Amino acid sequence: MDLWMKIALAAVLGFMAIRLWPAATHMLKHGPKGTADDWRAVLLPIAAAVGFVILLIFMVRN
Amino acid sequence: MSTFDRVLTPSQGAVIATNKVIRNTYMLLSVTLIFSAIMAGVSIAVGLSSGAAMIASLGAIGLLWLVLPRTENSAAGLAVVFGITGLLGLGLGPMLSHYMAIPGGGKLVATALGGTGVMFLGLSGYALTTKRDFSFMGGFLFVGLIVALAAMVANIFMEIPALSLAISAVVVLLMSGMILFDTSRIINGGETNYLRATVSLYLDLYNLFIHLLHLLSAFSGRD
Repeated sequence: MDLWMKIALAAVLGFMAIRLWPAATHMLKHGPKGTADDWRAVLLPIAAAVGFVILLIFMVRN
Repeated sequence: MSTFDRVLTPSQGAVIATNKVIRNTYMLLSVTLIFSAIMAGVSIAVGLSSGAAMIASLGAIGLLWLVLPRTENSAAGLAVVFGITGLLGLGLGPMLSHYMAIPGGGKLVATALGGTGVMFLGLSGYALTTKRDFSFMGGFLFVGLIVALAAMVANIFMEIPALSLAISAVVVLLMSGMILFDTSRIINGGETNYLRATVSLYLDLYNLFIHLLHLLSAFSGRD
């Protein structure tokens, strides 16, 4: 990748992070807090997604 | 049915409005994904350069940040959504051409595409059927995205393959969480605009596909 493209890409990604910052801090301070039960309900589908990605990796390796 | 029977209670009205947003979002998402795939095909067919693809992606970001917020409540917003998804599809062309050119690349792209579809249906289906409110994940997911973006910026210049792989793995996890979060926001009335909801879910799918493809390519030993 050319240096100018690297700089442009870095600038865009950096700007995205800056734009996300206020929303992230607002959600952290004022957003609802999850209970242990809420997080358990998230772990199940995320674990299934991780397992599925591992399965896909084995599929493309063979 | 008497007039009295046809009067909706506020909660019934809210349920109908939510169902309408869900239906419109999934319909528009399907159409925009097809449109995006066509644009990616066009991009591959004409051999779009990396520079042009980056300009297309920048155009999509510009529409997303500057134009969509002003048009999201009008008919023009629909054209803007197609503009965003079309330009992002165009931007995918050179990356897809790169993967297709390597031996077994077609299988990799197809696996990543199918895998993205299955993950989206599974995660979105989970959020739809359980009707749980995943809004508590918002802060965690947004901070995770900012950290991932900072790592991406660093790795543009450092070019460490292991870090690139770790970023893709984290983004796949974050996008899985974002699908739950965005779907739950629609179900629980946190998102009432189907154009915004469509773009959010589209971006989740787009990022999931790109980073899943990168992961599969790296682990298959073809990257």
